[in-house]
Amino acid sequence: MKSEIEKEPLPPRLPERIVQKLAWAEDQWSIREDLREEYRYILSIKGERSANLWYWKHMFLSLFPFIKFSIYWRIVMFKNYIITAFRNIRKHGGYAFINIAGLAVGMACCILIMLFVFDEMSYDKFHENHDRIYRVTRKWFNEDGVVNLHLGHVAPPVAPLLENDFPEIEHAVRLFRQGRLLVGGDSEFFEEPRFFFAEEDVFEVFSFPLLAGDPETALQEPFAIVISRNMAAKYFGDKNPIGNMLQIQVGPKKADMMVTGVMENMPHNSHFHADFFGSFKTFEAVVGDEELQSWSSNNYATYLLMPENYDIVRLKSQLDPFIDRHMSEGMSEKTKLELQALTDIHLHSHLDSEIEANSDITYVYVFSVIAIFILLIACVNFMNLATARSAGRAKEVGMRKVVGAQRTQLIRQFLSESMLTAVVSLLLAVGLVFLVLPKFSQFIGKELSFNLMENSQLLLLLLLLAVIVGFLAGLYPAFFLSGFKPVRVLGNKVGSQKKGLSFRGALVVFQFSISIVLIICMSVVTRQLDYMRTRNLGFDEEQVAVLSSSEPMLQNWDDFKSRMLQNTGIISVAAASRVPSGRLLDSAGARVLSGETSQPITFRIAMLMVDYDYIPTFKIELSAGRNFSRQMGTDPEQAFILNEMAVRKIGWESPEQAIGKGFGYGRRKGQIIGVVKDFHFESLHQEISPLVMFLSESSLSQVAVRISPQNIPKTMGFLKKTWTEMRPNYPFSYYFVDENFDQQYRSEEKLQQIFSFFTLLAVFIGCLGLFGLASYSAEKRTKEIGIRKVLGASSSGLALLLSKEFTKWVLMANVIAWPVAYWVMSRWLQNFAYRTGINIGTFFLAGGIALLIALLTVSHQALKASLADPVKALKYE
Amino acid sequence: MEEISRAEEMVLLAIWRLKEKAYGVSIRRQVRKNTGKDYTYGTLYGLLRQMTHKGYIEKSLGDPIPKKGGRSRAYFSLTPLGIQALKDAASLHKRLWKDINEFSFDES
Repeated sequence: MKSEIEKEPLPPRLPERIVQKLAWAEDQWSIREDLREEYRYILSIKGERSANLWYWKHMFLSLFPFIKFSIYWRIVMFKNYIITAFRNIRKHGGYAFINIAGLAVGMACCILIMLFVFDEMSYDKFHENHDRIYRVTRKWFNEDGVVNLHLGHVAPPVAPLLENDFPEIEHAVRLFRQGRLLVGGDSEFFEEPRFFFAEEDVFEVFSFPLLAGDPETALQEPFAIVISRNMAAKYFGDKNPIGNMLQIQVGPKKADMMVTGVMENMPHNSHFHADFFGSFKTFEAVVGDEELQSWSSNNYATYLLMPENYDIVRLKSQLDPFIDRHMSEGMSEKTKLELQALTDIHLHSHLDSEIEANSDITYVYVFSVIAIFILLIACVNFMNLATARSAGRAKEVGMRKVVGAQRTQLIRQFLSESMLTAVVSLLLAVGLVFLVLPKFSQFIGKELSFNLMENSQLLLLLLLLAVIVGFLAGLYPAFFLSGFKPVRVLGNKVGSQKKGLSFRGALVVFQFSISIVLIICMSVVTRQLDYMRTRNLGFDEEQVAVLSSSEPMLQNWDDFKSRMLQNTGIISVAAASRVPSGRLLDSAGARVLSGETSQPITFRIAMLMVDYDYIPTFKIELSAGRNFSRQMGTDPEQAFILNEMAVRKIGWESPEQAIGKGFGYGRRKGQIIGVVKDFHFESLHQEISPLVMFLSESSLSQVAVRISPQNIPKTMGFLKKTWTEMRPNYPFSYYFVDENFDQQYRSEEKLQQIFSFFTLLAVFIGCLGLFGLASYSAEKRTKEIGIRKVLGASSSGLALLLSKEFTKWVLMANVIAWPVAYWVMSRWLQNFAYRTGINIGTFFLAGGIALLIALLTVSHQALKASLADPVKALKYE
Repeated sequence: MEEISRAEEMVLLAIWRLKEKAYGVSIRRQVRKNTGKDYTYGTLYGLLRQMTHKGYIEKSLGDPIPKKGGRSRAYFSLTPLGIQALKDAASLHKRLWKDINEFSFDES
């Protein structure tokens, strides 16, 4: 009998295996046996070939129904999981709330940061040719090879010469930003800061769509102008602007421009924003040939459009010879041209001149990391609470197992549960984002859009986020819970499982490490910001208003000044080429003269053209010598005042030693008559640079007015009246030096605010989890606490007992967080030439805060548990 | 009550006809004999599971088959709910075809 059975012919192996794999576990065996039976039957009447054929055919035909039914069952089971999940949420509303709220807030942060990061990355990508546009920049070197200046603008001959020398360049286009230009419509004049003169192929290089006019010819003629949609509305209202005239006025010069095109307003994610493009030929006609041939007027933003698939290194390598060829042999050791990809400008370019202030890739990184951290904290909450609650779910798991659930099914169940939570959280998060987006946009200073309908990529990403979060957060609980042995859990043996507890401990430590790092970062950023704001700049920056000068003012400067000083609110008035809180971007060659010999200075000394009252007006201190004096007839031509940095770098031992030394700067020759103490002309990002001041009558474009602190509005009213008289047509505008300094720290200030905000959130989410965990752990130990109480333990002793564990975790978190925070912050501080140290107190403070918060969170539960009636506690369960 | 599908009806009828001898192979043969439809085991077991879940049929294990490691074969039988479902289907057919002679179609 036995041997007979073994001889039984079997169907081919492969299809049988496939069928087995596909069949529902419970029916596998029946299906196999049925198929074998039928196979043998066909074999016996039609032979092996047709039997095999039949088996294969049957397998293929079965594929579809198998898959169809398996999907059907998945859905049936999934419904069951969802129902269970909802029942759970209803039954344990508190936990569910903590879970969902934590996840939702975490996701909302994540989405906001994601929107911000996407926006930052999108800069200049709207140009059709964005990947083949390059900006030409120019560097200058000290003799020792150190870069002393790197401008995002180059000299006017560069573009045409490049185009001529390198035929592969498709287009080279120059933009010249004309500051303080007046534009007039029919009657009124406005100061338009976003006015550029642009070469005619600007629309070939950049994708600025024209709503009216022909992009190819719009800027061909002199006195043609293209304006943005906003400006069309501003100057022409509903009228068609094409063919109409606009008058522009630069200083005393006026020109009538004909509107030849209207372009769409520039999107915010462009590294520069123009409202007007005047044709470059207009500009050429006005400034003349001398300016356009000058290699020292580095004011032209220059962009190149390269052919597709062009290896930019080829052009880069030819730029040094280019300089040598067109300037003079060997010049490329002193100055070089560089090329910068258009899409790198916004995040990677921090040159000494940019059209608009750029952002920084570091912020993108920092925020991405914060987003991930916050999400992790929220996930950890979920894991923590889910495992902590395992005891409550253990019976369900036991029952499911007893009636035949397999482990994979249970894992699937818990994963679907956490995904459901994640999806619900995502919906809430999306709602939250819509709620706070306007505030957030306002805060970061640009309009972010959150349009899920239009941005399917974003939608997909969000769903992916939910799935990932649900998966991450559910993974550990799923494996943990599904591993329960039914006999043990149904026998009520699930108690304090040591392993689960230590894992939860690790999660709490991790959460708090992140919170502590964020707290430390926040306080270091705050300290640095305070430091920058309160540091003594070396002069008196308060109550100095800065206004623009005008021709008539400067022509009768002394008269004008004495008239100003008659007003009691005005203490002193000075004119200069630049004022503190700006940059020091001008320089010329300097040399030390002694007798007939002339010793060139190899480093850059920045120049500042001033009048007699500049030093007293800003209360800059002299360390040796004297200020410029009207009594000295030679001062206007020959006097120089240096700062101590310049003196030190030249190699003179003391400021006194410098006095009377012969000095040459540019075309000037003379003596050093004074040395001022170092003061912060530029923001604290920059080191104090060597500086030379001399008198000049031209180039004094700025007027600094020190006003008395009394009755400022009246004084400003007087200034307004005077200025409007002296500069008709121009709107009255001014700024205060101290405020302008603060402006320069705005990005740090924002960083600080964002840090504070997200730190608070991270701590909040962490606390939510801790709260849940503490209440759970107190609940678990109800009986223990009851017994301890009966045996005479005090309430405070019990509270301490319950908090001990959490304290330990937070302390451990400090150990991890401190080195991380130290490393991150010392790197960040290196961005500043002048910085505070990292105070060890900060670390203790952050640790203390974290501990305090943790204890406050936990103590509520601990107290509740320890104050409870022991009789009730002992009856528990 | 929910109406059963045509496929379900055929499988249920086959099980009813087979009485105690309804298991995979025999059900498949019966369906083919009655209707000419050649179901794959994928479809058949899918339907059987679905109907077990709905409560029309139940599965019981017979004697172990005489074979090394042989397990019990699964037999299927109708539950009262299944019988009711068949009756409903039959009466529905009757009501639908009332007054309609099979040959009426040819005349029109």
